[in-house]
Amino acid sequence: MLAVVVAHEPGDWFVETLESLSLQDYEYLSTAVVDAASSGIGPRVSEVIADAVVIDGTGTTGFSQAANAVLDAGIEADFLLVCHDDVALAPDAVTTLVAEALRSNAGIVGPKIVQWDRPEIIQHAGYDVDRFGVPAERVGAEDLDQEQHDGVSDVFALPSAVLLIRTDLFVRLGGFDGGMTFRGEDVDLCWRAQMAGARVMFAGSAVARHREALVSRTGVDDAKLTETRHALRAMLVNHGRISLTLLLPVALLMALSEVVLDVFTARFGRARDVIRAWIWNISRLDVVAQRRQANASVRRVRQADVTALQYFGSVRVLASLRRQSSGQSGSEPSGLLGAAGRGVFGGLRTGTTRLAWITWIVVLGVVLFGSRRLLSGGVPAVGDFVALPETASDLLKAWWGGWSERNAGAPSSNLGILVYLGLLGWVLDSMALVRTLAVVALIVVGLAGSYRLLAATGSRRAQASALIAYLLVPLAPASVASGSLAGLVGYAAAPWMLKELLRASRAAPFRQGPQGLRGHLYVYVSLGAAAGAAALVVPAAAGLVALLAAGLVAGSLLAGRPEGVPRLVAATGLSVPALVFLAFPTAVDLVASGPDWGFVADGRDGSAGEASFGEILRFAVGGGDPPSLVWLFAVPMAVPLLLGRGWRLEQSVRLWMVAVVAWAVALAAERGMLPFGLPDLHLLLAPAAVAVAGLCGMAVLSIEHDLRFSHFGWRQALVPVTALASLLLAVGSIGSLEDGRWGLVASDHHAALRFEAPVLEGAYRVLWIGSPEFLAVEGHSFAPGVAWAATGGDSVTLLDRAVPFDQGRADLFESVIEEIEQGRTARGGRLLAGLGVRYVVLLHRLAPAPFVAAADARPVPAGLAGAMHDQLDLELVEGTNSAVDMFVNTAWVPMRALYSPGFDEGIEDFTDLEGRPLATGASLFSGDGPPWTARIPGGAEILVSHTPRPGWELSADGEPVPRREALSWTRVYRPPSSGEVQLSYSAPWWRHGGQLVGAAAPFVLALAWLRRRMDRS
Amino acid sequence: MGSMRVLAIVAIAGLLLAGVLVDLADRPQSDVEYQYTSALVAPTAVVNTWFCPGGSGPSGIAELTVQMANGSDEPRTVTVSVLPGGSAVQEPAMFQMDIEPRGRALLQPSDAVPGADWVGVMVEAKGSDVVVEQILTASQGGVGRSPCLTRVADSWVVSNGATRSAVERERFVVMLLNPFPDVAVADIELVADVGRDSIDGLVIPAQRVVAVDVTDEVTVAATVAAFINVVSGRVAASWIQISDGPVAGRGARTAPAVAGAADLWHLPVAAVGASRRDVVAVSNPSTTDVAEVDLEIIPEDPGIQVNPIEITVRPGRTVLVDLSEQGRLDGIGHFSVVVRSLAARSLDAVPVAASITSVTSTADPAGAGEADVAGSTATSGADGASRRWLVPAEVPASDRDIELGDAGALVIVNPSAAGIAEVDVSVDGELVRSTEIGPGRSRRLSLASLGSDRFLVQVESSAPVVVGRELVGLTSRSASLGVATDEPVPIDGIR
Repeated sequence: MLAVVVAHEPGDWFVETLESLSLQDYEYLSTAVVDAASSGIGPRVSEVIADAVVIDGTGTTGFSQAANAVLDAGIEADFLLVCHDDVALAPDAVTTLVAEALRSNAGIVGPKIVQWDRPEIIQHAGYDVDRFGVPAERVGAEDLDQEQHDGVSDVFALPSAVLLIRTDLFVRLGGFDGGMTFRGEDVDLCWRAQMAGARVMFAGSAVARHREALVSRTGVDDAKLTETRHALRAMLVNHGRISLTLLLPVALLMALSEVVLDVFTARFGRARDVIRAWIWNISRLDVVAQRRQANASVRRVRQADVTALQYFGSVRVLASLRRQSSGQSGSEPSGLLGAAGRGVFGGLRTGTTRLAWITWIVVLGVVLFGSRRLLSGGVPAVGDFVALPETASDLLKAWWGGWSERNAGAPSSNLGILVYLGLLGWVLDSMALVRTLAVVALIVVGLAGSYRLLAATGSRRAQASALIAYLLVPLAPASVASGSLAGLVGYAAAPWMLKELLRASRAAPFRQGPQGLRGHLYVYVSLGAAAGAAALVVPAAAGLVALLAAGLVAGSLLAGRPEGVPRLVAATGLSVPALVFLAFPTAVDLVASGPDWGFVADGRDGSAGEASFGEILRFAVGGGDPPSLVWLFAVPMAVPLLLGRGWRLEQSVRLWMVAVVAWAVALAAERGMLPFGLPDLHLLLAPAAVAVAGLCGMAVLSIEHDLRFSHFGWRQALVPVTALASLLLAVGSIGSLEDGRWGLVASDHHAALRFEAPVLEGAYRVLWIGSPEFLAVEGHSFAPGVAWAATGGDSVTLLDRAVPFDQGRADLFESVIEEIEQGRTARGGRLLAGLGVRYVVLLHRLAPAPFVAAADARPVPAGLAGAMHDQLDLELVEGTNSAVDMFVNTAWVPMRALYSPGFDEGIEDFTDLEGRPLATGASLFSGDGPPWTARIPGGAEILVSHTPRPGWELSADGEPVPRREALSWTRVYRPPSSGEVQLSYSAPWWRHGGQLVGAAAPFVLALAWLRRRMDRS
Repeated sequence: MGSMRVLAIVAIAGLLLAGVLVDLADRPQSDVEYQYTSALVAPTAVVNTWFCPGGSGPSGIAELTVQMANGSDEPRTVTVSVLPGGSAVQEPAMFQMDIEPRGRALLQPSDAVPGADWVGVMVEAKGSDVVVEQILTASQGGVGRSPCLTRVADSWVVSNGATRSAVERERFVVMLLNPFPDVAVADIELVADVGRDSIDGLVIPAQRVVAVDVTDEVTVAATVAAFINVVSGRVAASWIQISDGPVAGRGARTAPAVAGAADLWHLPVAAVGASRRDVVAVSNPSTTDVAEVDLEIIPEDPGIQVNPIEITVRPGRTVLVDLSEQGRLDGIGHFSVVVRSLAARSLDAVPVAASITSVTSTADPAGAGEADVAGSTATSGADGASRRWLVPAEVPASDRDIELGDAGALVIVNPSAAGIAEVDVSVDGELVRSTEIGPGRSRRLSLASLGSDRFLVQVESSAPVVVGRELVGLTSRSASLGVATDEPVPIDGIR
């Protein structure tokens, strides 16, 4: 028996290594030390083991080549004990290993390796290896040595820290692969030993301590590089032709995926390592071929028999899945393949995990089934569900342009979300599909949030219960049916916000995660990110944080736990920076442009609505009336109040108050008790919905933990009652799945309205008047329950929902509508013509009849409608759907038109248009833009009906054209001569910069989140 | 823990209960003010559009003349659109006219559309002190006169016409003017003492007038009412009644149709006398409800009390009340009439439409006296009152000498039940009379005492009043309400 210690400038511990060898109770043990660094360690060796041989490892690179040096040293021993220089063997280790090798007729035997300083922790107990050559530990990082691995078992590979190998086998195999400097050489050696028909055995009763500090000793962290490189080398060398042909594409695909993921998470070094590993192997294909030939000479076992010993899947993928499903962080999943039972779904064998997976599968199945017609037929442009531009490039161009045509036009800050929608549309090559997926995805995001809400409780049953309850709460169907994007965003965001607020409160059991300032910061950023993500789509949704916090504060006080109140207040306030960052530059624009509550209220003025308190309580706020069975939610919601103890009762009180506060605010809004308007009712009810779901989860927790402490009595009856109520709720909700579109109508107003194409007759605006819920864009309150908005062209898109930096000359629309409504003019069309309005549409219903019944109509007030009918120059379009009144402005002139000089003579004030109507000019710049280019004759003037703002310029031959004010609000350009002119708008550089920051913000935060997740893993 | 549980349950239950209780209370009314739309001619906007449904061309039965009066001290420019009607293909004509301060302009619209059988006019005037009247000169004699309309509507009622073409040489024409750029379609139901008839789907082309000669539809009717329902679009409506017979007298009268219905109407100009026959027409446009109506008489003399005249108007019917046959009115002189629909058989009063026609003959059948000028007039009721009125007036030079004779009058009614109205009457900007009118009383001022020739009377009052006028020309009479130039308020809301 020869112990071969490969030493490379070892530290003080080396003495202990040598001493452990000298103290072995195995009688025939001699020692050879390979001085890999030629550092002259001979005296240190002979000081401990006088008869030890020191082999000069000059010219070797890495552990493998140094260890192979023993092959040239004239070995006479039957066994070699290959050791690192940082291991210390138990005195009986060698004896045990030799005995096991003889007893099992093993080729290679390895001991149980424990940590150097903490020998109670097992470091290695052999490796499982997948077919890609990637090893998996058979123990976890912190597995306590409880003699659980003290038996003997076949393993695929052993670490090279300490392994006993028959000398003849080592010679026949040619030793380690000299190309593998560090890491992976042991897997390769054992793999080849298996091919040669030798058994590889793990003998747990033999113990060795191991420092395993290569990185700190070399000062180079090339672990990822060398592991990947050598695993690939082992795969290339040791597989047969057929299996390699099958596996190589898979390995390449996995490598590419890994590179993409690493790049996405800004782990560029790791991505580089993967790429370099492949390049390294490709550049050494000649060596690979040579080693494959060498392997052929030693092969004694069929390739299939060897691969049968390997893990079928991918260790890397499995490890990732295990980390996600177990929720473990900070450590490798224990006994990766052992626990997995060599199957991906092995981790599901615990009952609660299986429950969670099954629940998710059912829930997602329900969502997909309920959305089937939306997915197949698309989402009609109803309510807030505005269309997206036809192409991704249109979307991105408009986002970058920074100008909104809404109302009279104004600089706008398009939210960064448009960039991502555009990119997704580019990938999917269908903006309509993006829109449909976005609607469905919001539901799924909300459901995911509801599942994560109670993760801190550690009860999968509670999580599953909350998930199912959130699915059954009829808020999502009501939001979809009402075309309420705000409601859907609230549904998606509220669970995440509530979760972070609960963490911020530090109330049990939400005390996990990092403590101290870093922990607080993480919560604030997470909360701000949740609010910001919601604000990316519907800015007013960020206000849910305040609503949820108010409920939690009230609940904390009611529960007699006021200590969490300051934390909640602080979290609400300190989440703002992250929110602002994510919603940049819109948030800054809103602040800079001054307080504008109308933006939050979205055209609502605080007037009373129609929903009763009962309808609010059961979320009957849109679409079809939900079944009365919704009242049964009261049963599970009451359970934690009646049964709960400790933190379960306290959290139940908090959740109840979240619901009560949301209901109260919704009631106040619906009864017109507030002097100002509030956002969409669906959005206001989102906190109540998530609180209901949370209480259902708490009901399960209370039954799990608290029922046992109750005497036998009525409390026990709550279990079957709750189960029955839940069953009835589930059955009662089946109806909402029937139409496959969550109650959303199948057609929208655009199918009923006929607009001329602007490119044919000239650019125009459309003035929309109706209930704020019916308008596709943010409305301006005009009268109780009535708002207006103006959009450009024949379609309304998401771009029209951009947040304008200011309101531009929206006041002119308001004054004209008021003139008409008050009966002060019969020529409203002439005034509207001054604003480029060609069509006026009064919306009486959310969607055309018969999709929306007359009973659900909210007609424009008769006075205003009558006044519109009284206008002498507004022609009612007969034959349109009864849900709308559509007028064509017979006095309309194109927004951008060519005129003779002096065309506006006598028009000193905008109202002069009433008595001095504009003549129709020649349409100009009617295509997509800005910019627009056109050829014009000489001596003409160009009217451009936009809010005048810096950045607009008409240029001829690259020179700006002089301009003057016209119609008392807009501009006229007078090119000096005929020729080609270009009308363009360029936003200032700082606005573009802000847009870039806004676009990058979600990416940066997502990156940080992913990185943190991966770091924890 | 136990006490906290109880406290929490009680608090949550209490809050939910509070929500239920809050929701039980009546919801606040919408902040939308009730949009009262008066039937009055009320040019109260900055830019006012006048609709003169018009009359015929020069060769027709009643040639239209439009008179525009400027009551302000500034010159006014008005835009006139002449809308043709009839079989000839004509395009509307549009032009502008200037009116001097305190001046008048007469327009012969048929000059702009010479081939048109019928002609209407739309006048767009900036400022509230322009008053536009239509004057119809009947070919068989007589002149009718009334202010043009300042609104369009989809429902009109014409209460009292007659078509006895053979004996009384009566012709009854309803004029419909569509000022909009899209076609209007109307259904007209004619309810006569001889039966019912209807015209369905009558098309009024865009920016055209249509004359409905009821005489051709319902013949030999002593009374006929027209209920006009515009099923598509909106129109302005007026009517022309021409007669030359022993009972109906000789003359032409015109008045705006009544838009919609109301619970309370004021007819400020009424009288009974030996040579005068005033008839109040009350129409019930409802198809289901019976209207119980009182006609309250407000004599000019506050010392006289007259019991109201009670009538019942069945759905879709018109009731004519011949005041000359009411013995209780004998000798009370001039008076005003209040038409009040009562909440009797139904929970709410049934809205009605009211108007009054007056026929004055030159010879008293009983030989008791003789009027100076014969003629017939028609006046629509007033459902609103205003603090400021403009009244175009004319006093023939010969009447100036008569002073208190039958020279026409300005009638001011204070519809308030409690408040006194302090009224200033100015002519061409100069105050000529100040007076107080007690609650529920009326005051009749002779036009001859206010001015001469053609002048514009301005009435300003401290409280909403109703103003009517009665003009007596050299050969004809006319009566109408004034033109309210301050925002009208509903009479039934005045306390």
